[in-house]
Amino acid sequence: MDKQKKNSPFRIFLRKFLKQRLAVFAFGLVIMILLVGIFGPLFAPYDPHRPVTAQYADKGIDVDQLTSSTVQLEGRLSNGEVVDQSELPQLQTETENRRIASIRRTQSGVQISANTSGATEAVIESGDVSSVAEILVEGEVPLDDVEPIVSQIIIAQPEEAFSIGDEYQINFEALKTDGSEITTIEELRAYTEEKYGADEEEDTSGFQSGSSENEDSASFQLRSLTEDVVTVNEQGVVQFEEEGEGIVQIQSGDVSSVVQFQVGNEQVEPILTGIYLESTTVELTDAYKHQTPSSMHIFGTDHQNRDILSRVIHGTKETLLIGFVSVAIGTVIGTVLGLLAGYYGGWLDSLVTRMTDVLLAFPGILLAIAVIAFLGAGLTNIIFAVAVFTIPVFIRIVRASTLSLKEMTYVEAAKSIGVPNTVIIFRHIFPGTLSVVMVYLTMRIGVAILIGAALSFLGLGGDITAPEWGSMLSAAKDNSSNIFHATFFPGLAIVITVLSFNIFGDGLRDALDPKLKE
Amino acid sequence: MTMTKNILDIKDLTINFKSDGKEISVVDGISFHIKAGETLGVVGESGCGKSVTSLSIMGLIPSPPGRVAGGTIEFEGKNLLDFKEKDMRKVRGNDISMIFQEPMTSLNPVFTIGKQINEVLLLHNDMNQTEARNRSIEMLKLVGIPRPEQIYSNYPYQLSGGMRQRVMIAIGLACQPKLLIADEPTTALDVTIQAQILNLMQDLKEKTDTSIMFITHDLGVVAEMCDRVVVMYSGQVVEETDVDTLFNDPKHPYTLGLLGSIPKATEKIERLYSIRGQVPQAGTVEKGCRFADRCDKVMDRCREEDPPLFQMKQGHQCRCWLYAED
Repeated sequence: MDKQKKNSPFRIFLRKFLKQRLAVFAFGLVIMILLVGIFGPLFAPYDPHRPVTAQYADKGIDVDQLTSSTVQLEGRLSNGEVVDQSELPQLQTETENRRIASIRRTQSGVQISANTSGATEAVIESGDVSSVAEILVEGEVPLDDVEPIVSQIIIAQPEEAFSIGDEYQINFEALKTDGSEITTIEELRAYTEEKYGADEEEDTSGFQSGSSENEDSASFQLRSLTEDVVTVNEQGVVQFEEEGEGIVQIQSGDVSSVVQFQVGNEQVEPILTGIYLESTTVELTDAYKHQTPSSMHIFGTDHQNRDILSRVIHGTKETLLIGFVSVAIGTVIGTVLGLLAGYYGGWLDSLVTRMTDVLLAFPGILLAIAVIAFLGAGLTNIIFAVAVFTIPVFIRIVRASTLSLKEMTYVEAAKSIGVPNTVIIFRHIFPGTLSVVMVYLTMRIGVAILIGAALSFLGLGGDITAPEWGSMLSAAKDNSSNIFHATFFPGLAIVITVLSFNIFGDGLRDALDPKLKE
Repeated sequence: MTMTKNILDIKDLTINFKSDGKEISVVDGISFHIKAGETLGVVGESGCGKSVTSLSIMGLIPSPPGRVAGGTIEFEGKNLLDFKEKDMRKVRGNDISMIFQEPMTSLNPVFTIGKQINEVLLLHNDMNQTEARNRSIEMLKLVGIPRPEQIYSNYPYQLSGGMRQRVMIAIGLACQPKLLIADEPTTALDVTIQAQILNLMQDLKEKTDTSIMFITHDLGVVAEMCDRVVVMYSGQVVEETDVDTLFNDPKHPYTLGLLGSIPKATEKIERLYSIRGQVPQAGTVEKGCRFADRCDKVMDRCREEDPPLFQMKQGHQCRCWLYAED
């Protein structure tokens, strides 16, 4: 009894199938894809139809934390005292490009919020002094070639008092965002001309009216704000002319600092000499569109900021629906017609065979498009279209094996005991065609998914915003030159699914082929 | 032998096949009958129309290209050719059943033995599954299959050729038909199994009182099994007689040739006898005796006129000009 069981057709088939590692692996994947298709929507992390930013609140994620950052800042007085930002006079904040990021004052500092991806600068100004923070917003626009900029200039504040006729060499450090420093006037001048000079040329040809003011702030300046007390030359040497309070300003574009001198013996009021930022580079993420893959969104988000992972998971159902239902319809109709045509022959056979020839004369996708054009776009019509081009294939293979099976003696034997034709067809001939049908079925599912995706990609799937792999690709294709993930993951899903079904079908064929020895 | 009713009576049966637009008579006006409880042997070379005749009795001539062009097939007094397909289906398997040459392919490989016997039982009898199962197992026991309960749930590939032929016989006899057509049932089996199967059929015939139409080209089997013999050649009956006469006093040169072709265990000869030439293709002989070209005793008349069946003795007929009385 055991020996017989060992050699049953099913066991032999199983053994042959299990030998094919790749096919077994593909089968595992197929099962997984099926499970994802059925249960996936329950586990999808986000609603595939709405932007993720709108869903963060439900998930207890603070959007602001992702998209904005608070920078603490303080003012330094000439006497070395530190002033809290709230006491800074006339504090003005501004970002260079408001589309990328915006800035505003808060209790604890300034808050920078990202709007879209890119690089820009935030200028924080209080009177004669100002500092710049570099803002990098990650996202669609690559940030690789962003140059470090000078963020703040720290001028050494002399503690002693000077008398008329003295000379003093100014020492300063211009801190760049990458941590390096510029300490000579020549270098700072060269840097400034390179950075702001280029902008200036563009500005002159631009529309901006207040260009004179721009010019003023856009160049390198080393000047005395109190001409009658102190003068300063290009090398940074300060000469004291009269008694009183002398102030010298170093400005490099938007960044400026001052240094205060006391000439004579009269005490001077300490002034604000610089604004110091806690961090000079603010790195933010653009959470509103095209988020790159991260731990929150493994596959990233798309152009409407919808979670691609969730959409791929939800799309599985739709994709499998197209694949299975269309192939099921095609198989049933094709098999029945093939059986009838093959068994009865005659005019029925001629009719069915000619129809098959006509349908097979068209390339599959063209036929599907023709059907869609006729019926209109939509999911059910896609299913129908794919079914239509699946039918002739099944008619052919089923008819061919029916022709050979009906000559088998057991069919004749069945006739000779008085079994009706319909029973012969479905009980005695149909099981014989099953092995071919099964193999083709699995293979065709792959093709059907591909054609379904292609039709959706062409916008024939009706709702183009639906989470369907083909329409996801279609929507993401315009940005595919700089956004990798939006096309890659739906595409990968299609490739894996189609490949799994095809390899599984291939293994099934080999296992069902009696000519292939174990 | 007592005079019993004819269970099957074939008169002037002509079967045509269309080939390349021409109709060719494959079976040409044959007549013979089978009495109740009798075994009739139908002997002849391949292609002489034996199998087509048997298929026509079942109404299973592949059509097109074949069709019954004339004659009657009377089964228990009713002409089967007048039956509609639906009525014919009731006859098949129930009143007349058939055993085929190839036991290896006669069983559907995807169903168990039991299912296939049940099929005929459920088709023709008002039975439920349990009754059918019991009857099937009984039939398996009857045809001498050991462990019938186990074989019942086996698949055909698990059985040997002899076992499968036994199963086919079980299917054939399941509904106790009045006529069993056995189309070379032992050709594909080895000799020891042949003997077993023949004995089995003999036994069952006696038990069930079934008539058998035994189609074969093995004269040894005919001697063993049959009461009467019909010798066919190229779509015609050339000799009809009882089995004793056939072996002791054969008339037709073709029958003589067939008998001469049997190797004898007692003699050692250089070369086996064989009838020279080949069976003419159906429809190629236009006039004269169809055997004329291969006949040792051919006369001029044979090439000109088609011989009729000559009555020899009681129940002995022969189609040959040798026995013309004039």
